[in-house]
Amino acid sequence: MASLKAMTTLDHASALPVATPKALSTERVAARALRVARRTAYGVLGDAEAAADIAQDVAITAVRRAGSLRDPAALDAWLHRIAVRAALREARRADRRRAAERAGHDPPPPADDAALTSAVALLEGLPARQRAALTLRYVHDLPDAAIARALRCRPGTVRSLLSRGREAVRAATQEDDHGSRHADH
Amino acid sequence: MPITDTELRDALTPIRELEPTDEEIQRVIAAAQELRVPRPHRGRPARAVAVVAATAAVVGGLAALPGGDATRPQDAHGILQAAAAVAGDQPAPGAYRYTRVRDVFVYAVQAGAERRRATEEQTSENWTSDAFAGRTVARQGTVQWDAPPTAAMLRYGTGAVVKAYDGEFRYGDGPLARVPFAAIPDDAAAAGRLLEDAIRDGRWLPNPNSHPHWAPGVVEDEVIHSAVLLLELGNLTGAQRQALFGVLSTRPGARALGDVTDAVGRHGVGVVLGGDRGGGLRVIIDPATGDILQSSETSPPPPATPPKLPAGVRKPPWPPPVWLLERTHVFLSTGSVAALGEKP
Repeated sequence: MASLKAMTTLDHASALPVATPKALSTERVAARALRVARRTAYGVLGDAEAAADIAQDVAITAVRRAGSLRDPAALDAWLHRIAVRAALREARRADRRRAAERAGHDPPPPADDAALTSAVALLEGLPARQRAALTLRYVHDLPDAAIARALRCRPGTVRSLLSRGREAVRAATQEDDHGSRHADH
Repeated sequence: MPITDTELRDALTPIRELEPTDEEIQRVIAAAQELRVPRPHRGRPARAVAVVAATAAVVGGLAALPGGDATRPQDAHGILQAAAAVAGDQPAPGAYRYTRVRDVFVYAVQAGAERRRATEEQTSENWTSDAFAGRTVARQGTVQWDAPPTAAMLRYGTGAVVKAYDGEFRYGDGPLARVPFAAIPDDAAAAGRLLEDAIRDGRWLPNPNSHPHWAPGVVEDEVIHSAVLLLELGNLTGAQRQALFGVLSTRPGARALGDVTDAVGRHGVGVVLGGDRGGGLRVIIDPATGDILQSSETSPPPPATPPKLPAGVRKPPWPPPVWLLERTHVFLSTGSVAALGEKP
């Protein structure tokens, strides 16, 4: 790197004024990252352990980058993006594992909380990106534009993912209702 | 009947109510701090893969770690692809990229029959914005000779100290001297094509006609060096950094070094890039952030006989009086800041 060599040879010396960074507290960044990433990963994967792993990885990265993160709004947008991408990567890996094993899908262990299990069951069977879009909208209350940034797609694609996702949930819910009524008879 | 937004939101409420425990928060903070602090060596002694033994103490060298992460890619392509994925997840940059860099240059200095080895070391702070505009503040550095230099050697410019510097950041003479960073595409293939085209046509050189002819392999080598330089010092978006790691992952001849430590004991993953014209560019990457922790390179010694020059061109002294043997850049701190002088 000749440039670095070149710049060592001039003879000037004075200190620059050092600005004080308005950094977020480490605890706040860690808590926020764990919260956002776990909720997102849980929605996408429906697996408590995988969601906890992803949340921890995302939070560690966020804490290490805390010095560069000053705007809470920007922090959230960034967390949503990396959490979604980590969850989608894990979903792809899980798909490959299942395909390779040919042993069918080992469902993730059910959560201890029955309400949580029901919530996850609602999204079960949907493609990962649809799950991600639904999670970002209905868990994190993000608008289309923010979901599009997190998923790196156009807002129109988000609307399509949400529409198809809602339709799939509705169909699955009706099927369950129908099955329950038959069982009752 | 379509499911309503309210019904869906209500149904997913249990996910919205997931909260981290204090223990989880503290565990994350502890893990992040552990990654920042070099851990002591455990188990078997480190296997040195030093660039050159005589300067290993200065440049730190590369040492294989005991153990390592079994889930991490072990081949160069996988390492660089993993770095690309992590780099793509990094937050948007501020106005300046901040780097604190320790530079080590090792020279062979020849005067008559006498030959010495000089090691220059200096640490600088750099703030770089678009097109490498910015500022550098460097304290006076040191020069260490392996034996007392002769007066002639000192006249060659490698004196007793490296002078302090405070002024404009200057990427002086390389093919990226004037690159507008917004021009770097987010796509790896497009970024690779742009770098190669721009190097060939010299569009970003201070003097576009400086290198009208390229010897075989030189452009490929420059693409690698340019991509690494941009990753080190360029104030780029995560997507652009992802693309540049993608460029590196497609270069032929890349070799993995596995889990290594840098000159200041930080853990990372290492690759050697290129090498057709020398020992290759050794790069250590922080797998958690995609930041380059250290890059180093050795130069082959000058050939025994001088290059053949056209008739009429004055022959240079041979062997050359000063010959760069090694260079190492240790990125002690990197980050994104809003203003000159600010630190992450």
